[in-house]
Amino acid sequence: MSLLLNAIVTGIAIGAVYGLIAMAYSVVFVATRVFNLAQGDLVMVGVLVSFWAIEIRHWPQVVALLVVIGVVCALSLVEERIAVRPFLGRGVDDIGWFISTLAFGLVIATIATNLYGNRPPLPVASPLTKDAIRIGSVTTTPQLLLAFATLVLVTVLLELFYRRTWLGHALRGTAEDREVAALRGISAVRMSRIAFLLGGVIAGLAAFVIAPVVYADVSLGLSYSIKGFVALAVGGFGSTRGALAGALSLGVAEQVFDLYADPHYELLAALLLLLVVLTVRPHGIFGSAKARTV
Amino acid sequence: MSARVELGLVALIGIGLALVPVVAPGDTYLLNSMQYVLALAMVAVGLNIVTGYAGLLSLGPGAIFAVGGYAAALLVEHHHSADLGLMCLVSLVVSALCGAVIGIPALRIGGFYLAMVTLFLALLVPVIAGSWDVTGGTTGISLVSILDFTPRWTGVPLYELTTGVLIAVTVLSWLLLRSRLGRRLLLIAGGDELPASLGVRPYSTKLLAFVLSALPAGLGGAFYVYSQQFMSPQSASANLSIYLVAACVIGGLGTVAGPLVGSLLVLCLMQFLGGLQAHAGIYFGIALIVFALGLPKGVVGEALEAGGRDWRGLLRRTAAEIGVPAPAGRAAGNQPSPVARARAVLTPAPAATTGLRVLGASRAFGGVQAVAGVDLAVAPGTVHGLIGSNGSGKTTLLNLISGYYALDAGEIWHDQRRVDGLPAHVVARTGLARTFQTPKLVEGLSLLDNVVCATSQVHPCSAASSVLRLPGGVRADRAARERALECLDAVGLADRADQLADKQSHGVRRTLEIARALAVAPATLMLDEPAAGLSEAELEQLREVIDGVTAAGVGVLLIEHNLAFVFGCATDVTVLHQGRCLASGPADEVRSDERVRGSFLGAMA
Repeated sequence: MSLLLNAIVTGIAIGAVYGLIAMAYSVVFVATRVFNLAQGDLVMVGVLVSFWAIEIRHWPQVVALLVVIGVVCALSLVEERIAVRPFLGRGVDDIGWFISTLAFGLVIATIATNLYGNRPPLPVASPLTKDAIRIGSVTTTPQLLLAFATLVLVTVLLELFYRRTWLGHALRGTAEDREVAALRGISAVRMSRIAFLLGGVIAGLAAFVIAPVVYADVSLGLSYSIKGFVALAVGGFGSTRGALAGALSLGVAEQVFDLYADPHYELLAALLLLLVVLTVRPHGIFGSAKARTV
Repeated sequence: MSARVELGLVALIGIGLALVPVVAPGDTYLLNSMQYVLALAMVAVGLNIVTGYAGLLSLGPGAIFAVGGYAAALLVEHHHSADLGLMCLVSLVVSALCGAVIGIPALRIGGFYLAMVTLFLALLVPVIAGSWDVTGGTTGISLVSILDFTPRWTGVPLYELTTGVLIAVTVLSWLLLRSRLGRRLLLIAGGDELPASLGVRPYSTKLLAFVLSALPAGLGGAFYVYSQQFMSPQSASANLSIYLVAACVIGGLGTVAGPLVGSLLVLCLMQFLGGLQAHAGIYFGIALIVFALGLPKGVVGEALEAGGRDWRGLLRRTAAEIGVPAPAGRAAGNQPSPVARARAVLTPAPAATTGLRVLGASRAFGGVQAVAGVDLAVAPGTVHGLIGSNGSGKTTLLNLISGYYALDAGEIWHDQRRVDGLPAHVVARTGLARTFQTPKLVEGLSLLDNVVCATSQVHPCSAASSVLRLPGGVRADRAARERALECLDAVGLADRADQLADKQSHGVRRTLEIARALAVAPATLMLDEPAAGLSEAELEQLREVIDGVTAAGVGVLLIEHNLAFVFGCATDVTVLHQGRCLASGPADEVRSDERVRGSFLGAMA
């Protein structure tokens, strides 16, 4: 029983890592209806920059955080300009952005691999103590708690942002109907840039927080992208709460799978979860089916 | 003609590939590298079927390639006497099953999900294979270490065989594209509504496309294992899938020669980049972005277009070319009237029907009651006009009848069958045809082929006999073509039969949709604003076509804003206002109804 309890707690903590990645996806998706396949690679680059700033340059944590966010934001904006903006307004059926964001991810992953060189995946020092926290029979680490706290904070701030601010409404509205948004003086191009900027900030923050947990590993970009997608698909696209719920379910599903099946096949857990949820609720836990238009 | 240009290109590539051993005799390293390239090129040709033809983005061709490869390798591991033919057979069966298993859940949701699930599999399959004892873990399965296994095909003969198979697969994909099955895949690429309205089931067609695309991938896997003599997780990394997608995009998705050209370019570069291989992701990533942005038709597609031949113009065949005689008696003077021609294509008239009846149909979206308790009946051989201001629920009602949305309440009957709750393609098969407010056409096809998409339903034959040009298929396809030409003639578009749909004016596109709707020989025809944007002459033609349709005993439900046109041809008229029936009855009564005059007709009266 305590094994299962531990798996669930660890699952929630790991889920927080996926949740941060999913939030970055979600922010971009909500405003542009673009599913940025390079998002995982952006997070991976953020983790590598954390490694470089903390382990190689030995910069203070705060400086490192700012550098990571800065680099990831810059990359995110470059991606928006090169690989996404030309496709906005070409109609929802145009899947060109799918290919161009995938290609952008491939380019930055290759560059990162060449820069990182032949090092094995290396740990990044955490500002927090490494000592485990014990509550009854359950153990976890301060860094995972920090990831969870960051996720909760980001979720709450995003919900407030979407509900309370003009910009939040504008971001949501643009994707709903570009023409109506344009009539109200909202520039879709500007919204797209803001969305990628915001997505970059969250991806950078996510990368910095998860770096001590996941190690500097150049090969993980694509699997971050996939896990983020599974979290969103399970929770329901476009819903912030959905992203949170989906990510936590994914983390727990993986840990429970590891406990009762074989950790080598952990990736299978995400696929199974995805297929089960899509069969029962095709639009995710918090998603809603959209009406067709002819 | 450009169909032959592409086929010629495929033949040239085949000859070029076949000559490699002649140009570089005895270079076993080169030959071995080329074997690898050829095996993967088969996978790219398969990917083109699902992504290029059917427009469903699949990002995991490497996953199915890997499954096919492992199946072949495992076969040899357990049955040392297995030969290449048996390996191919096993790979084909396993990859087709694998395609179905992946496709069934992934295609339920939509193209977006297919892309992600397949990308996931591209990542997952090597990881699983690398951890599983059965597949030999990270070292994989080596055929060299199986001493009893003696490959019968080696060296140059194997190379030439692989080349031959690759070219054969490509030619098959060409035959597929130009068959009724190929046209069905092209219909799917434009969304679910159009194929469903023609009675084509979108889901099973997508699944078929996905399974068909898995076959060459499995074959590629078998040839890979046979020539390279091993299969390991590194043989099918996630990046391989991305490179194969890149190959198709760079060569030209949707063209026949594109995947061949693209995969030879990309994979040969990969093989022979030497020390620069570590940077391959940068080059191909940038090339991929450039092509996706600026050259979406790829090398082959852009070249064909630059040569004055649109890439899908290859599907174009003029009536003369296929030997279909122009409809009889077309000399000036004894031309039958459009009324007679429209009537002719619908004769023999469908068996006596009870027409279309809508009883208390209601549907709300969120808080908006789009359609509220609407009753309506379209009797055979009559025109029922449906009018109302924008947003009054006319098109929603049409979509409810078509089965695109479910009813909240009410019933819909067509031809003595209750059709509400049935899937859209089944509703269409009861003999209910429609046009769309914004014409939905297969843009790269000729006008004739757009109509053939529909007439193929009237002249059925098995998909295989159409693809393989068996006598039955050839006969059915010829009949479908003749009928399509008659339908085009009925609406006055016969002289444009071989022009491309995307080059036409708005009026022609609308009229083409009517020809397509006639082509399925419907019992009831629903027209959504057919007169919008038509010239006076085109309007007159449309009126005659509608007269011909009703004369053949077909009922017409006509949504139109042009009130003079509606009252000119409708027997009954229903006026919708905010989703409700404002008035309904014989045209004259509705026209003089006080409420209708006051709120709606105003100016016209």
